Amino acid sequence: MKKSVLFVLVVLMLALISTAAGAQYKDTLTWAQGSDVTSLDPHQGKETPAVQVTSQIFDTLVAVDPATNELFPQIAESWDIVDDLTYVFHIRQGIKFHDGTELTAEDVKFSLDRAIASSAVSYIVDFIDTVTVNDDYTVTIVTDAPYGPTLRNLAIPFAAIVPKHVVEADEQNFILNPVGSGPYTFVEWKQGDHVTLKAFDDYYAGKALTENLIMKVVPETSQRSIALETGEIDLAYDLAVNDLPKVRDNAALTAYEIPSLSCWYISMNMNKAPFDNALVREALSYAIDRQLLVDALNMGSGQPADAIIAPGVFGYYSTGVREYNPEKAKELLAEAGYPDGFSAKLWVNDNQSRIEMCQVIQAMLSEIGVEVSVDVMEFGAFIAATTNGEHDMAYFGWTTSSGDADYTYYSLEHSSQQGAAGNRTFIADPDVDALIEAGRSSNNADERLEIYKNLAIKLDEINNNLPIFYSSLNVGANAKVEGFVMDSNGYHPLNNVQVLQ
Amino acid sequence: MYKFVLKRLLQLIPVIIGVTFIVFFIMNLAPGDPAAIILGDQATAEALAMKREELGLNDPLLVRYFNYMKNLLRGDMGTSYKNNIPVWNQVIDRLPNTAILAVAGIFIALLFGIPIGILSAKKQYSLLDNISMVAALIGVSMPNFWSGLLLVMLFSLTLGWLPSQGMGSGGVIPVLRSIILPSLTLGINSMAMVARMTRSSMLEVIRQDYISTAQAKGLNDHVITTQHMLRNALIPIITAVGLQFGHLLGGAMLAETVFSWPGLGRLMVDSIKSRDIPMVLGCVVFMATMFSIVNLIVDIVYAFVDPRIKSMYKKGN
Repeated sequence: MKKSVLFVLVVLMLALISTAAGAQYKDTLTWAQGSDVTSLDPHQGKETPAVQVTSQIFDTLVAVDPATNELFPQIAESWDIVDDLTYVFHIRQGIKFHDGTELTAEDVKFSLDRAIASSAVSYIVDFIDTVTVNDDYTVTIVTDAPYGPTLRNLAIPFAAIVPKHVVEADEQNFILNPVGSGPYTFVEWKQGDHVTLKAFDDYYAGKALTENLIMKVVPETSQRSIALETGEIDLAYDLAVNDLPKVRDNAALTAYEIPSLSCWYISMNMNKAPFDNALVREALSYAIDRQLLVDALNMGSGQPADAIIAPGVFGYYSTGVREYNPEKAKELLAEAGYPDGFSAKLWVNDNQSRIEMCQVIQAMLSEIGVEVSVDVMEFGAFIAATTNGEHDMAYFGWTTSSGDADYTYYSLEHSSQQGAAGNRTFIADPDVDALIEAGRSSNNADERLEIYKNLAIKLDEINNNLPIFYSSLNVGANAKVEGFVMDSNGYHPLNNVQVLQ
Repeated sequence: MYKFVLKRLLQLIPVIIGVTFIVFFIMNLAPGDPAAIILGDQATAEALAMKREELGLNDPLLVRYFNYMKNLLRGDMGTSYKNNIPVWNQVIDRLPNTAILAVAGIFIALLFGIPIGILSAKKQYSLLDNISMVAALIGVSMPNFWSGLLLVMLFSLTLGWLPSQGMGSGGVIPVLRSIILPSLTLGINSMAMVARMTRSSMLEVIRQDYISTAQAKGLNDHVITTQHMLRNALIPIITAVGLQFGHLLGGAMLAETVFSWPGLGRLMVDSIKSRDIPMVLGCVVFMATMFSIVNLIVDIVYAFVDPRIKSMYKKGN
């Protein structure tokens, strides 16, 4: 009897001690993603799986807060916009690279010049004409033409600042052992398996909360959710939509979900009949039940789209999702001279969820007499053929990675960007061109919003692209994860995340 | 014998030339521009032109093939289109992982496959024979991405005994723990093959006169089974095992994907998707070499099992 009382007392005391000591956090956070890093060189690996890792290692001049979508100073502590073309950045003093050397204006110039010269990422910084070093902590950037999204583009992780002396000394070595100035230092990359990172003691904004990060490559989506359930990983990026309910229902797990910056849409080739006819394009838009597609195929994840830029993008204006009205669609077709409909091809690359989407759209279009055959192509062939304008209709996805409307409108709707650059409807409309040019050359945010509103209304009348839906991004997490905030590009920051023991 | 081995090794050269030639041209003639695939659908025309120049895609096809072979002779397999890292380093990095998995898979196949095959043959049409042959049929037919997931659900999710994915690191124990499920998944397939092959090959031998003679001499059953039956039945079994092992070394793509195993098969499939031609060629050269070497080893093992074959090798046939 005495013994058992003593035992209970000891247990109680131990319990008290452990609560008194406060919350204990794990020293390692493990996350899983579907693909491996393509390249650890931030000016080369622009694919999301690469940036999910490199954005922990490298910083940019300015950055975007994922929670508020506001710009904040990072390597540059402030900047002056001298005139329409000239930006002067003041570099924060005392920022250190992971090898202990100080980051100076020379590194900034070197990095931006390197990014401009890289075929992989130049499109994000090619608005820059010259980068000049004024002194150790001041850099002047002059643009080719007035360019509204300048700061947002410089905040994209591909515009990362790298150490000049390290890259120049041995570029091959830098690619394998990257050195940056971000919150985490690089430790190891075992290709196809994992990347290990360690918190950087001298990070300018304070050391990251969790000491070690491990990124594991787990290609199978179902395996990512299993590993989350078994506790082998703390975060699982991009769960399959059919695994989400299971994660939501599990008290030990949390499902994070936010709208992405990606839109899925059908491009109609305006160089081909009958898609050169505005009434036909409008008719097809009325024939698609977008809400049904989201509910049935995406299990309610995502939302119906009314523009090719997502609501989270600067410059988005809602024209309202086109109502589903097959009767109206038939009337429009008749008015256009196709009372009995017509037949056409819808091309899609060999991705199961995209193919399913196209098959349901095929059924919807057949309701109004438009007989569509869905042709599945391998990605390389799909891109090559649509670049050459051989398609009638094709199903695409596009992400506005800069978070600024110009990025998408210029590439997809400007007449100079036909083909490879992104304009695969081959639209060439002087009014649209004028609005896009006005939008990109203005530095005035309110003025730009007004321009993009007019552009959205105009495009809603032209219907060259049929926006279908905006996808969401999701992350499954152990419920013990604290401080995790998703980034709408998928570049989730991890320096303020910790995991309870 | 040495002459035989040397001759076989020399035969590797035309094999490598043939394989690289076919793969090089298929990869290059398939629709899709590697530059466009690497840069994605948001690339500008200038960037594409820049990338093509960078990758040397503007030279005529034959010139590129010739250059590739010239470099290959010097041991230079080029750098990956995707990340500029030398192909050699990346392939060498993955090779041991695939080899470990293949050896473990074959080990499981032999450990269970051969005894099951022997027992089934000796007790033909018995309940044991029927059960094990039906089980083998199921084992052969089960796609391993599915059997792998079932094993994960049982051993990782429900019982929590073994890791569900990845290759363990930091010591022998974590690696061993992580290899059990993937090698079992691969092993089930090969085991079934080996068991069926052992059974049919044993059945042929069992009816031979020398077995009756051995039994009439009053030799004990164990000696008859191992020394007389199994040894004579081994040749087809070795051939089957060699082929299985070759396949496993070529990278068991599906099992590697299910278990997030950083092996050669996954590397090659990923590279094909991204039109990373130097990487695909690198993988293919390695796989072809390994397959040829495994075949050579199989042929050498024949000689030890069957003296008639040994004497043939000696004559230089």
